[in-house]
Amino acid sequence: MSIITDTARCSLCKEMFQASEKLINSGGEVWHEKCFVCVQCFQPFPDGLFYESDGRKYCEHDFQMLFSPVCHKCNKFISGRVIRAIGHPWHPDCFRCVWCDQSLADVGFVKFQGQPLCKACNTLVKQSGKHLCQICFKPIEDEPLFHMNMVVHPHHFNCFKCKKPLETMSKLHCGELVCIRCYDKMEASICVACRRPIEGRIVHANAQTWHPEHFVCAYCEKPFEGQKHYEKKGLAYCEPHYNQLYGEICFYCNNHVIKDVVNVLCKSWCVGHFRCTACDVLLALKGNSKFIFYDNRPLCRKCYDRLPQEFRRRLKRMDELKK
Amino acid sequence: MSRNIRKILESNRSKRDRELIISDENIGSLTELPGICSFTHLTRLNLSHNRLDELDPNIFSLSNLEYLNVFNNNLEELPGELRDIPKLRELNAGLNRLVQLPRGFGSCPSLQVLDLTYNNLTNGSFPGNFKYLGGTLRALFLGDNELLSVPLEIGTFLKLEVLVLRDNNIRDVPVDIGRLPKLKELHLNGNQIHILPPDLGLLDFSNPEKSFFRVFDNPLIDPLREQCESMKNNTDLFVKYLKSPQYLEVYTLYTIGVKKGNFPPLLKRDRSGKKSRKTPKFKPVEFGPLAFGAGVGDITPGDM
Ligand SMILES: [Zn+2]
Ligand SMILES: [Zn+2]
Ligand SMILES: [Zn+2]
Ligand SMILES: [Zn+2]
Ligand SMILES: [Zn+2]
Ligand SMILES: [Zn+2]
Ligand SMILES: [Zn+2]
Ligand SMILES: [Zn+2]
Repeated sequence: MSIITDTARCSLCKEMFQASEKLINSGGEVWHEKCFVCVQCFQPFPDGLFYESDGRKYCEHDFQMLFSPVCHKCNKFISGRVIRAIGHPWHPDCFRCVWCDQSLADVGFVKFQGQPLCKACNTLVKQSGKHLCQICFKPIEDEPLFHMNMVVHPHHFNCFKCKKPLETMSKLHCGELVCIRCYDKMEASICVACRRPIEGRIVHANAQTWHPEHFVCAYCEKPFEGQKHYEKKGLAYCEPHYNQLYGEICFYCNNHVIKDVVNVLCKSWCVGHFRCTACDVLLALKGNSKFIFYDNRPLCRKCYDRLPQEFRRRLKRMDELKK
Repeated sequence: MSRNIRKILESNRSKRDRELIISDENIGSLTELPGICSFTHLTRLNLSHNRLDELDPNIFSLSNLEYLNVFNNNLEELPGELRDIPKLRELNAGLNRLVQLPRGFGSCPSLQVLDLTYNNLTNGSFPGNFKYLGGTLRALFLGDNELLSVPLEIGTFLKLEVLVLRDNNIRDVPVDIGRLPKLKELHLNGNQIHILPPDLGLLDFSNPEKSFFRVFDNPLIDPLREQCESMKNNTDLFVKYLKSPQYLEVYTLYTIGVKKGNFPPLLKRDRSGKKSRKTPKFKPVEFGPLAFGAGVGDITPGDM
């Protein structure tokens, strides 16, 4: 030890060794203990293990950082056998068919949408026309989600509203992904008038929803505020305006017909007001109780028979002249 | 009084039923319905198909009456007291023998529907204040009467929706009818009309389910008759034709132009069989040029 100490110099710093000094001998060269370190981090080599490149020594960590390939699958350094395929290095064990998970290290593979498939799976995928998820690279069995220019499994994304992974079907709502259940709920509680979500009380009408203050008569635009509304062609009206626009006025009572309306002879009647012009008997449109009319007024059969014969003859003639 | 009538009256009185129908019971006089004029709870009274030849003037004490039906009786006149029934909305006096309406009848305050069909009414039958019904009247039925012209001042009946002038002897249709804003039904068939004023084109008959315009069975000038026939029941089209420049030309031609008064002959009609004429008071206006000369002035173009 001492003989060496007298003549030898450190391979790194070329200085002599002190008599009592510990020196490190490796591969026919000697170093000061403080000089036998990683050229990158200047730390001693753990367990004396070092890696050399270009005559310079590195600790395992820095050597890998600088020179080792990283597996494209597991993101760990690859020491030992490296598979280079599809432009990336892989651990042999990590290079597998993205569909069936079979190791591809020692068999042929096919590149499909940038991912490795075994030959058998490649044939199947091509036949089925399925997409590969661009996140997990597994085939997408159900409906794919087209999102941010990717084709992916919906379950890689969470519902914006309930935060649960999306199911097969999902929708975009205001640029956010929501599951179909939340979408239905949100859509149902969007006010059709202002297009904003409804937080508090909801008015359901015409199979749509409104803020109570936005549920208004389509004509006067006053809120109904719980009062009865009348629907026509998908729009809602307050009673006076519904009547003004679409109401039928009973020829007898001169009021708006509220319930069932009899529309004949260019006039309207409340069902209970559609009576024989002569004897007041209630006439029905359905069934056998036919009515006869003159001057667009209804007569029951009995009263028609009581008209003067001369008049009835002329009514018949009028009928013929009309045609 | 038959037991049946007594039962009906007693039941109505005890129940204070607002509706009373005594139709086709061979009633010759209101005296056969004792106390009827005290049934002040009534809103509807129907006495149709009887033999009534007059109405008790005390009828006006039925102060809640809204509807009175005396269709098919033998009435030659109506009591003027009808005007004192404040709520009377509808009066059906069709198929009677009326020659005259009572004086003051126009002041019935609430009358909306007036049916005088099949009577013997002439232009002289209307009281001077008839026009005041224009404030309330929605429907006026004057078919089968003896009118030579449309009753005067029809233009003031601004609420009129239905106007029936069928089967009279009317020759001249006043321009005012075209300005009745609510008119939806106009029955002019069975008259002696030659020509229609273009003003009728102002009527809104655009809703085919709610409009009605009949002018057949008239001695119309050829161009009108042809339009009428080709458009059949398309009231809207016909009305539009009336306001077209094309018709205005025709109208001018026949009223002041080269074809002035060049009208088809009047239609012969025999109405002697009318039941309403079986009354001594009625003297039929004989059908002939003299009668028309008296009833109708020269046709002049309306303000167009
Ligand atoms: Zn190092
Ligand atoms: Zn595979
Ligand atoms: Zn995936
Ligand atoms: Zn959700
Ligand atoms: Zn809203
Ligand atoms: Zn309104
Ligand atoms: Zn009614
Ligand atoms: Zn009847």
